[in-house]
Amino acid sequence: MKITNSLALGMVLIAGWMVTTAASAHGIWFAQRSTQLALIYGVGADDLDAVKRLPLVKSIAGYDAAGAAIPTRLRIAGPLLLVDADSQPSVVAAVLFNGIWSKTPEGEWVKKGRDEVPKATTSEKNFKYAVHIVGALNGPLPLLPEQTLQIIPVDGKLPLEMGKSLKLRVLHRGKPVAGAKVLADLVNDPDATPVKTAADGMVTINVRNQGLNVVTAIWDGPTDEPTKSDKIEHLATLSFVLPHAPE
Amino acid sequence: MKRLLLIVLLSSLALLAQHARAHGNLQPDHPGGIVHLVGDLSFELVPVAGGVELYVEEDNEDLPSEGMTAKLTIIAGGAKSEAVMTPAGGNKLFAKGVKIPRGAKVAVLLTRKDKVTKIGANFAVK
Repeated sequence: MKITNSLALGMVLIAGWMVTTAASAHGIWFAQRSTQLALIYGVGADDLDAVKRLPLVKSIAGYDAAGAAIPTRLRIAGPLLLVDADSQPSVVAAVLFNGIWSKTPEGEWVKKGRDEVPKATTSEKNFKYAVHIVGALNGPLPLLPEQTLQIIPVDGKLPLEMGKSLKLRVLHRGKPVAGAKVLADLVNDPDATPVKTAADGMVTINVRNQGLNVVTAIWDGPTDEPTKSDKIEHLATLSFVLPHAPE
Repeated sequence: MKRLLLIVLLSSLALLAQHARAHGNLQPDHPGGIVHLVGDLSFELVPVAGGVELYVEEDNEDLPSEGMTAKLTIIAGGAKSEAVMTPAGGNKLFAKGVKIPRGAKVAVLLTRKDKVTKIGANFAVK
């Protein structure tokens, strides 16, 4: 009976650890909703309440095919945050500051800094970045303002078919990042073992879907407020669509 | 007889599979047209003498252009130009006096009748 109880306790602890791990991996990305482009907050199939998080969105931007900024806003439409640009963009981008989170010795995440949770096992600031390529990529994707951590397709183009390899570089403030954890698809395979970037920030993935792909990079950077957080977790997505075959 | 039934069954399944795969059609209905699909919406951009036409279909049926507008953005040779497309009967919108150079990157942002819903398409002109 003791063994059974220990096993059950172990399973509960593992389940709790898995939940907290998943909770820290929430990201933002762009996806088509009713033929319009929406900003999504979530992880895996969890498409969470983005409207509630609109006050956390620090920037939203659209860029034309020449890389010039287009006046762009987010518009609340029912439960969705839709991209509302003055003209059709080739790239859209957003930043969300998810606040400071601390993990208590009991393993619970609370939205407070180390100054309020001195016994926290870890305290971190969470920034979420999202870049979406609208349609095909016909040249180098520029470094975008506000995208402190950004994923760049190295060859300036995307494959046409799923399963093909895609060489990426992860940059922090324009400089290559080593050891960033890269997932090929935050939506359909969020628990995959991430691939780490090399010293030059490079990583190669296989494009997973003939549809929406949400490539994700997670990297812990140094804190800018040591009294409140031990580090800054940067989570960046690069989303794009490989079109399906026509009828 | 069994062989015939098998052929009919396999053909039906093939047709069903194709139908389930996608909406729309990339074949233009107008000479020189370029088609871009956005879900079940089809945008056909047609450069003509005197301007640029845009034909819109939804779920393979003409979408009446009355009440809609579109913004046309053309980037070519480092220059950017914009034009407003207005309803021109049927499912057509038209921008007068606009030319699309070869190699241009063209973007269209359609605003539907509700004046709120915007749907866009990007074209690469060869």
